[in-house]
Amino acid sequence: MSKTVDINEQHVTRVEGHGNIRVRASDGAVEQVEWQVPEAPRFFEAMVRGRDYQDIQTIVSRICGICSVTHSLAAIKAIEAAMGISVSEQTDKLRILTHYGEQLESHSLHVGYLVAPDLLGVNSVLPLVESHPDVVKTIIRIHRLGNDWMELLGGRRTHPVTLRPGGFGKLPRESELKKLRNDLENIIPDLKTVAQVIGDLAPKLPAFNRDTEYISLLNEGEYSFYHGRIASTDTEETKDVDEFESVVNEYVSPQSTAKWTRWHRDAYAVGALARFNLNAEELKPLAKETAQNLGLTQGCCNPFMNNVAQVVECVQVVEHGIELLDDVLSQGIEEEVPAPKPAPGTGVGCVEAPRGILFHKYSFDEHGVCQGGNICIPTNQNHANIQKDFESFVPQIIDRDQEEVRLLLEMLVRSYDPCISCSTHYLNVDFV
Amino acid sequence: MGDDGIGVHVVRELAAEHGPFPDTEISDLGTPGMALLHSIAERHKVILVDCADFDQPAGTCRCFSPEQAHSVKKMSGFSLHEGDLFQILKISRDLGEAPSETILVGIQPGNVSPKERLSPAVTKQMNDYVNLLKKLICNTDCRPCGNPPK
Repeated sequence: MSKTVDINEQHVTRVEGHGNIRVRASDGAVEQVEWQVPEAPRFFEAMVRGRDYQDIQTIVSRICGICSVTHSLAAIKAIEAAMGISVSEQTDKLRILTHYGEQLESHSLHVGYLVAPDLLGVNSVLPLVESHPDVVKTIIRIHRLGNDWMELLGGRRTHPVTLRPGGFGKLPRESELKKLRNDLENIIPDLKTVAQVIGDLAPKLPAFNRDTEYISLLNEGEYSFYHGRIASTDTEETKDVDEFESVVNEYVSPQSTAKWTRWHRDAYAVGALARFNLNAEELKPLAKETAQNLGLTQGCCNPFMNNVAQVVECVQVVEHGIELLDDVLSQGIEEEVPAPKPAPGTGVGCVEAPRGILFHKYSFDEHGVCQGGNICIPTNQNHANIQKDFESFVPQIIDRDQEEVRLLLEMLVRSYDPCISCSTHYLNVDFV
Repeated sequence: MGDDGIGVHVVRELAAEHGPFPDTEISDLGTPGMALLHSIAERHKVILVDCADFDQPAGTCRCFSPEQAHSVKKMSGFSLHEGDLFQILKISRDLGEAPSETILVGIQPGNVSPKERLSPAVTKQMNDYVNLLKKLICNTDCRPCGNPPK
């Protein structure tokens, strides 16, 4: 059989940012397979130089409209580490709760608006409003709750204003937290509905498995999004977040304006599936049951199952969110006014963004003026792994119709929930 | 933003110099995509102000209902911020949570290249836009008709 495949997809849709798929094959022989990132650089590390430490989280929040809470928290943790600022238990719990709102908002958006169309055979969520109105309504209710959750604790739906070094600029009222708790309780049936829908559609996900190194935060006794050490499925050794540069080992690839990373192998993956593979035994009961019902088991190395892991995490953050709210409400909200004092130093902050582990590092002088920053975001840690998946997956599907090959590769990229704009650093390249 | 930022300038002016209005929330909604659904859900009345290209001299203002126009926007599908307002409003109606009344205020841009200020043609009519908004909010002598406001 003589068959030529020539895919030059510019750009992949239903992802954030610009990424290209390039595949060439003749007579079943694959000649070129590339995941390319041509996105323009953002210069955030340059923007924070010379800025006061109190401004940093406000600036870097703008890296992403979807992960703005995560970027704010990573920056604040780095600032606090650099200056030796400690926070109260109340602040810690409220920050985790704020972060959970973003996880719910982001995951529901990705699974509901961006992935579900693939599984239901349409090109966007818009046709689903007519064909599957109840499913869309359910997704919108969950997405709305995620937005409202962030707005209550962060002060607005995106780019939070209450998160400050040392604590919260404005604390929620107990009555508001009680209402949020009630809303979380009431959303559980909707989460079960979505899990059921995704469970019914999951058999449509390609059965593609590639042995992969997964990396995430690990903290004993909890399914960690916020605290812990850097862990890998390849080793029992964990590293302090201060050592992140020896984990990510950033390097330049000529096919990408985003840097690539590697630790024990030539690539690794981060995100919901990585967290699940390293933390699954710490899931709350309903989240654990959801994973079982969806056929998601620890050690899974099918990247398409990342979307299933995101559904499990939606349940996890709601379930644990209710527990945290009960805890906070039982103690009562104590008024606190953050009063940090600037100090010289360098610090690292690490938080799990919805799409994987995120690192921020800043140095400050004695006046609290930023001298330099280094930000390593999850999607740029996934680019090399996407390339490795492509190299393994394409030969398995190259005999299929070209449009099917293109769609499957798009779906593979989308399964990572990439935030490509966030991942780009400056680099001059010419694409061949 | 150049004149594509007109909505931001109008709501700032309205909120800073003329507000607050009773039972009225004035917001810069950014580029929300599907999240616009949440902002407008089950409101009594929604007025959306934005730059709109309808092939008229720069600064021309049109006030209309969604039924009085249709979108010719071509979606690239590249960005999560992308959205066709008319499609979002239709989804809102299909979901049964559309506002009782929706009014669109479109202002023809003169320049939408990367900038930090409005073009002179749009700037000089800022007071007219704000006065129109005040009338629409207060329901005084102003209904969406698709014609330039008098």
